[in-house]
Amino acid sequence: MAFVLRRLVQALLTVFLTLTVVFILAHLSGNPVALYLPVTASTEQVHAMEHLLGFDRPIYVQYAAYLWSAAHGDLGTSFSQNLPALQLVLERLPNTLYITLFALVMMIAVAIPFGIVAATRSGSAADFLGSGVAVFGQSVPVFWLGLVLVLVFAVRLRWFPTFGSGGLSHIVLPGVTLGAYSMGVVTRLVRSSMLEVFQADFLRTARAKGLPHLRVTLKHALPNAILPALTMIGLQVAYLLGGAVVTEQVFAYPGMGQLALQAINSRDFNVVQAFVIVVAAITVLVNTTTDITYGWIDPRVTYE
Amino acid sequence: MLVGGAIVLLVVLTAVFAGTLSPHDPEAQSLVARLLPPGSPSYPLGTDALGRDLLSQILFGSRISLDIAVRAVVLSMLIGTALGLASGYYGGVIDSILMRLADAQLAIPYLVLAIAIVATFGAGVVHLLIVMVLGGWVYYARVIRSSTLAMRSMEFVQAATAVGASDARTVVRHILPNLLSSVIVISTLQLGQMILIAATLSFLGLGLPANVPSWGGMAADGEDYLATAWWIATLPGMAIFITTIGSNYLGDGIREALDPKLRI
Repeated sequence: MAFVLRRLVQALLTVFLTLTVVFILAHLSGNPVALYLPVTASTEQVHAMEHLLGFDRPIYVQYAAYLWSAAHGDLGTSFSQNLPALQLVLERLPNTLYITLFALVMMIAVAIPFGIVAATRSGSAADFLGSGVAVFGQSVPVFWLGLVLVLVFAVRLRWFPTFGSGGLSHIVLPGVTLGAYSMGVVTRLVRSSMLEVFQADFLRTARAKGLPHLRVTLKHALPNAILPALTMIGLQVAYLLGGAVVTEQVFAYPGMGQLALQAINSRDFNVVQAFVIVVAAITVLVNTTTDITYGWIDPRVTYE
Repeated sequence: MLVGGAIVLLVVLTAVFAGTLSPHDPEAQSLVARLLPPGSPSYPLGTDALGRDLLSQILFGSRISLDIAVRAVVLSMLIGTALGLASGYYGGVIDSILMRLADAQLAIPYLVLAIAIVATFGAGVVHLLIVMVLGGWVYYARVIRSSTLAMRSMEFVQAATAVGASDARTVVRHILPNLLSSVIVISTLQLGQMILIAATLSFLGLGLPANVPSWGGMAADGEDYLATAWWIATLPGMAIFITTIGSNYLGDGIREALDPKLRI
């Protein structure tokens, strides 16, 4: 229980740090008042606007006010659309989650079997194929894979739509593109941790008892080898949410990454900030849950 | 490892001799030679929408890609190693602060951090480098910290301290040489990742400026012509893919040889 509490405090601290970094970045970016006013605005008009927006207050007051409204779910208003920034980002969140989930499921469905086969038949054709998949995933540029998939499966074969959202057919190509890298990382990790567990004493005992190979692999080795993979899968969620920016751009898929890129181009800082904070919050949530689950699955894990 | 080394060597040579190898000036535009497919006479890989030779652009692009990736790796290495040594050797407050920073760093997806920074300061070579180093130092710092921590209580380090070696001398002469293999392995594996990151950010318009012939920027230019002229977007991406595969194989090989237990 102390472990869970400590982990939760740590999670809150990380979200707080992210908020602070975003606040500092926002203040380094220059005077935001200029974005609201025409270049011909007089000094009095600038001062009046600063007062209206609260930018004439001392920096620590602004920081406290910022944290206070962030805690109430207010991350500012979008300059270009005049709507709450957080609302704009959250509207796009489900679309991003669809492709992220597709990528996660594909990653787990490919990485775990491939990793196991590659480890049990080390040096075989299956191992070669598994390692090939892993190296491919880790080396291929996400945007390039996306472009090639569009070219082959959407433009030439016309199996899938080239862009946009709506239904499963729109999710397949972006999902595959997004998941490729993580699939490589996790396949390698499952393989190497399986190989490590195969050396363990308890596995030699299991074999010496005469248990069948399949049972030794699935009942004795896998549960022990899967733990590092679980942490890695949790960490991959952060990567997937970031990678979604690229994927959504290539497929013109209306997720929150695409929104963030558009916001950068229109200098709509509040939307960019809301995006950064939402992604960080999801990442922290997933990593905390993974760590807590980890301690629950493996009783040997205690916190110091 | 040999294959990986050969690919990396080839890319380095290409970058060095880009000027001699290129059949055309990469910037030379030609109205009559627009959107030529690969295999056209005197344009082996075809041309882009402005009639620029794709092969020459890719050759010169290797220079930019390697240049920025190597700089990012070296800076990350120096900063990460120094912080990791300080953190592991002194422990205490320095250690707590650095490791919390590293945790926070890993909690924010890398591309999202890049977006936050580029949104604030704008795109450009220096900002790109800052973003890359911000993402890169953590890997060195974590590995070096834990090795230093383990080494601090070993006899040879205690012996050095006992005979009166200063902190700086102990760290530089006794601890650091034992960590070099880890540093080399992380650097080689990171090179490919840095090339990927620079290309990805340039593709999104958050990295190198549009007038620099980078692989990622070229692919972004070609995206609009994907249905009619597939080669513009896909061939520069192929160059990135091959280079990254090469450096990943090389890195894996060096890891097997020097430090098989290292995981980054």
